[in-house]
Amino acid sequence: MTIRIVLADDHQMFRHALRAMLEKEPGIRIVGEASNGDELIDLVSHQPVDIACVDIGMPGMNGIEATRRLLAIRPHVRVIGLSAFSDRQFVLDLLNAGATGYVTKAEAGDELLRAIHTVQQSKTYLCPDVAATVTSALLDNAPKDISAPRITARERQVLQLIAEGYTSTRIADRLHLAPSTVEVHRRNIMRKLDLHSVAELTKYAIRSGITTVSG
Amino acid sequence: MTGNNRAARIAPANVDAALVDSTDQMLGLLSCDGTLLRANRSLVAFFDIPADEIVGKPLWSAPGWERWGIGTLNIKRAVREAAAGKASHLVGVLSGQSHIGHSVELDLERIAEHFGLQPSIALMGRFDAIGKQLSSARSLRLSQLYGAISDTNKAVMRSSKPEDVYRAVCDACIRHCGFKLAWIGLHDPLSGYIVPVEAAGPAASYVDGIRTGASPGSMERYAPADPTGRDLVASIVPDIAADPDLAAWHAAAAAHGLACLVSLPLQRNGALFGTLNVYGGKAHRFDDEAVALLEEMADNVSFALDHFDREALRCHTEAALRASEARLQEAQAVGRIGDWELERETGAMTWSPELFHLFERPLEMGAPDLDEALAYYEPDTREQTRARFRHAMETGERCELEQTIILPSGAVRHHTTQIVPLKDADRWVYKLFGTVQDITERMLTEQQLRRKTLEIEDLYQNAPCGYQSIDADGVIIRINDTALNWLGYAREEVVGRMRVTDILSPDSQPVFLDQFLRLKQTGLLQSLELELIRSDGSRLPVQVDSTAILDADGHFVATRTMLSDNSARKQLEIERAAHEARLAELSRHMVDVQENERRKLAGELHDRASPNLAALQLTLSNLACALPASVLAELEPMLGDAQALLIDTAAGIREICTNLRPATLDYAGLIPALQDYAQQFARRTGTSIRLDLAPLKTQLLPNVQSLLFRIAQEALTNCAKHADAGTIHLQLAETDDALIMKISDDGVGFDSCLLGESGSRPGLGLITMKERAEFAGGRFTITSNPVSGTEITVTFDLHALNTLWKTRQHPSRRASDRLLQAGPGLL
Repeated sequence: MTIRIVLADDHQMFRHALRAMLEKEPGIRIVGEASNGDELIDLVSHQPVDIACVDIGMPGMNGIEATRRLLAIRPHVRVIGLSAFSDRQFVLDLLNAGATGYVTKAEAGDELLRAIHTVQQSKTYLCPDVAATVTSALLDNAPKDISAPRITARERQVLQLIAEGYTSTRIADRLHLAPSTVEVHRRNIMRKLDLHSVAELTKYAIRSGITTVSG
Repeated sequence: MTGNNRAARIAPANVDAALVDSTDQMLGLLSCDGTLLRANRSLVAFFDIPADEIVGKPLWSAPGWERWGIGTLNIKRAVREAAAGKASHLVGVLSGQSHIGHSVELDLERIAEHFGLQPSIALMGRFDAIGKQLSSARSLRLSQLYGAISDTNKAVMRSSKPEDVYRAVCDACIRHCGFKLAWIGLHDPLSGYIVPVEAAGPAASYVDGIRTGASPGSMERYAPADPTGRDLVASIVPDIAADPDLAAWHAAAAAHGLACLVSLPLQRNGALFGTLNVYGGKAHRFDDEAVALLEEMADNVSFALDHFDREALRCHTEAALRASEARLQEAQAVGRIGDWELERETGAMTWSPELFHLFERPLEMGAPDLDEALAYYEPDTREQTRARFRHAMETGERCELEQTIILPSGAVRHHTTQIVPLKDADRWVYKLFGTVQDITERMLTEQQLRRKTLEIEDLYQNAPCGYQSIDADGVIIRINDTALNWLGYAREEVVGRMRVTDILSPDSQPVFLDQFLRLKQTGLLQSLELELIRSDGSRLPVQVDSTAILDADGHFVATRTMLSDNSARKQLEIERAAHEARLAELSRHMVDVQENERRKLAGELHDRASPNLAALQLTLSNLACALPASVLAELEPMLGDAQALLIDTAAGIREICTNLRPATLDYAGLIPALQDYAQQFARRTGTSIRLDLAPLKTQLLPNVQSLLFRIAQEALTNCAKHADAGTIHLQLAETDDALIMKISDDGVGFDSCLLGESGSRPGLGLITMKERAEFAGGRFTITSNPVSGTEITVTFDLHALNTLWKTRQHPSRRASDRLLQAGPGLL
């Protein structure tokens, strides 16, 4: 069964890129695009839609208000928030408005697909970045997110070398990369894993078997 | 008529004047004005009237005097001229009716300058013939007695001490009259006896013999049995041998050939002083006439004794006068006062010694005349002085004047001269006298004093501040010109009439009254700021300082009050306040501008950069999918790197955005923004943050929310950098009128004093926050010490906050504004 999706975002280029990505997926069909809240309401009122991917920061009617109105007239539509913001308040407000998914635009690729499939099954999906924010807000002393974060193969390589004591320059040499790119990877790893020092990175690498304690 | 000048031999000190006959008998005494002081028997006989009718009156007023021929006028003139010092003697003939042929030599002598203004005159005369015929024997005896009297009189005139008189009297009696014994005894007032002091004559040893071994009992024999000593009359014993009362002495008297005796009292000031005793060799030797002549002799001795007393008194007085004159001179020298006299007729001056000194004139030069004296004065003074002298002479009015004198040494001095005219009965000024005092020192002192007084007065009146004195009732009793000029009142309108409260603004009055009470108690009032009301109604801010003037008992009498013009300072204060307000306004404006810029920049990044990056990521993914598998396998690591770059860039932008301006702050307000920030902070730093954020009843203006957020942000940042804290406590609370935010940590504090010092630990960030808070009307306190950590408290008056910080329309609102347009969902 094909999932009918509408995209609402005022950033046209992003919308098109998103559409190109989603249309490659089997079982997904983009049935319409809107560049603001009114167009979105208009779209869903005239055709059947399963999921609406809604940008929160749209001119005119914002994404949260648009979600509220949309669900008022089409309660069965699933709404996934798409935003450059991962701020807790936006997430909570959108969820309160009735959305069941929230994905940051930076993770609009795989995470959005994951969200689409999740909400289609009437579950809620928050991308990891957002999930961390919301969870820690709910539980002040919550343990760090233990669901295995997904790091890329390249990141795994970099993490292993960091844990083994290589400097960024030497890692860059080993992987034929610019040193600044190694730094980028490291920052991404730390952000994804919510780790804040080389020591923590090393600990994590050992615990998850990426490297072993050497001699 | 003889022109002898015997009177010149009369000891000048002895008598005022003596009238002596041609046998050098003293006839009487004249004063310088011709008054007959004494008249002897001969003179009384000559005038043939009772003695008391002529004694005490001018000689020429005696009855019949006008008939005395040429001597009459001459005597009158002679006395007058003698008094004026012009004549020395005059010879004339008294040719009275009953005494034809009696010539008198009147020898006039100005006898002494010792008598100063009262020269005395001695008149000596000679009776050439006595009108009555006497028996030759009696005549001889009387003549002998006259000789004795005459010698006695001469002795009286010439002797300077009583002993000489006693000797001369006794000698004269023996020499002229051939008596056996003459002695004088003095009355001893203690014992009542007469003690012999002088004796002469062949029988003088009678006294010695008896005196030898004398006892009070034996002494009785000398004392005449009659009442001589008591009644002061002569006691006559015509025949000693026949007198039974003298039986005890009969033998001794007989042995010495003494047959009769006369004892005559000597008086001094009317009291018994002693006796003159004369003894004859034959009984009944003394007839009445002889006794009368002896009495006269005794009288003359008495007179001499009185005279010696007077003379002693005079000498004493004279010595006292000389001492007092010396003292006067000394006093004049000390007081630099001299005195002078000016005879009008002659123009001659007399100067006191000090006057010579004052004029630097050598004493040898003698006193100058008036012209010479005037020449000492400086020309203006000279003419003025001359005019005053003339005026005094013409009008007889005394006067006083001040003069400037140039002394021979060149010194310039100042004198004050008193001129006193002396007038005769016709109101004719015949003499001027007066004093001259050197007042240079006094004048200089006075000038200096005057100058000082003026200086002080000027300082008081024209000081650059106001002075006034207030009495206990608050009435102004003194005020200086400066204060009067400020107020625009005349002195007489203020002093004694106005109270301080009359010139104070209504606001200042209670302040002053309160402080005035305190001043009376403590004696001090400092830096009180009051507002005066000028006469034109305008106001003058002043600063008032007072001290109390107390009486001897410490009670308040009045104030010394200083007023300083405060308007310049007040103006400065106003300007400074305005300046500060502008600065605060500017600061707030800058905060707004900064926040707007940040918001704008964050918006740009959010709205454009972030979606672009997201689109790029998607595009890259799409591109990868479109690649053939073989190519993809080869490019995958590169694509991964590209993806990683994009992700990192996007994340970086998000962090930048959050730091620039958390979207939540605009979207949801301060509390959610703080919650988010604290959460991120905790996650980033590993520090635990406890939040106590009470929901606010007041809707805070966006810029206020920004400010509070930034303060919290800075405090947390500071904490992370320096404090090494385990827990941070962030509180936000609202009372009825205030908003309080408190950030405290348990880390390593710092010394609050060092806040703001360059290089000190809490950086400029906190200083900036403090300033911003204060410019926004808040209070920012920071307490910190190395042990207990740091606590920052920011308090805002809610009312002030909202009036101070007017809402500004933000020119550019992007993504966050879009969210806000629908209003925050949760809050």
